[in-house]
Amino acid sequence: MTDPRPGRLLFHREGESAWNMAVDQAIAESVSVQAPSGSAPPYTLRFYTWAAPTLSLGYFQSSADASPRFDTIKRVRRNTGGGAILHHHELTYSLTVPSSAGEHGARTDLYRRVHAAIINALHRHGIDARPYYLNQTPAAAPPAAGDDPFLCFQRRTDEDLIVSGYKVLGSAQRRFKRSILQHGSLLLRASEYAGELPGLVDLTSISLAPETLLTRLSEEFAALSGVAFESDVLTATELNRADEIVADRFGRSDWWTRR
Amino acid sequence: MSRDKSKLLYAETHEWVDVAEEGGQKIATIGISGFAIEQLNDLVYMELPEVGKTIDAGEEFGEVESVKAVSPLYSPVGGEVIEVHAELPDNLDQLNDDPYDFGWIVKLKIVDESALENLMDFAAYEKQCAESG
Repeated sequence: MTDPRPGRLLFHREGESAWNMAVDQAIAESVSVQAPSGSAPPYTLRFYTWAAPTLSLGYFQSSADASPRFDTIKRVRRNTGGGAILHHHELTYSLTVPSSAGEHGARTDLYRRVHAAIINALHRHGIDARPYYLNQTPAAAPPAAGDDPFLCFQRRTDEDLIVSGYKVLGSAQRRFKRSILQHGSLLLRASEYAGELPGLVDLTSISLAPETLLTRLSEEFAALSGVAFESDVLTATELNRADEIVADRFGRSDWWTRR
Repeated sequence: MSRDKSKLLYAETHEWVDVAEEGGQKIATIGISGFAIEQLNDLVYMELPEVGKTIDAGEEFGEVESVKAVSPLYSPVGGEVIEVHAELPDNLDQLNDDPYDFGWIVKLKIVDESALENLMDFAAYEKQCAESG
């Protein structure tokens, strides 16, 4: 039996808002280009934090729906779906995998596998997290599509992770021609900009350092996927492309106001 | 008049194309197949292109969101957008029931017919769908 090909593991501490989003796109484009030849890494797992508190808007959301309480913080529109996320006292991950050109829609298996790894990693910290579809009650049914709350962490979808009745993790995806990007946010502590949303530390009083968490998360994901991860850095092509994407897309004010 | 799905052409990425002659021009009406709509599952948003935009074969012409996943739609042929189905984004629930008539998305004035040769007929497309499960 041959050893599985290594996955790429990247960590970017305190990235600028537009750059954080551009790097995820640059990686997804790179994997998409490499996929037909089979040279793409099977998994590119990236963890990152944000240089300043940032409101990230879901791709189809209207910027006019953002509450004035977020006017003073950084903001960026994502490539992925779902609701707005306040990136403050949280850990963001992204996972990029190759895919075939003939696929459409969400990859539920990816949502489930990443979230299962996070459940296992949190369990090692003594925290019991469960997916919403195992946790829901009829009274807590999510609102109908179109009536969703603005903030992702006030919404509930089947794969969201719940701790003590509160959502602590939500993920979203975007397809490229031959790759799929999934990223998500693990809320560690409540932000002063959204005090109604408690994080893991508030809910459990267990201290969680991002570096420890990401090590455990990558170990658990590797175990579930049968792949070894090697720490890596962005290639020169990815770095240059990320700068282009910041200039053309995520750094532009008309990208934020396009809806 | 109901569109016969067995007479349409299909792209690997699951868009269907109905080619017709109108005023001496070849016009492509494009939608997404019933198979793809099942894969997409619970569509909540769709973005259409602007009329007048020129799109190359294989280029994105729109985007959809389902289960927090954004998926591009790829144009099977190249041409100029002459009409979009403006009612569709507000009535996505009807796509499931009627992907080939109510579900049309855009009409393009075909610029280069050569891309049509790369598309599949219904039998070949059904085989692709069966193989992909």
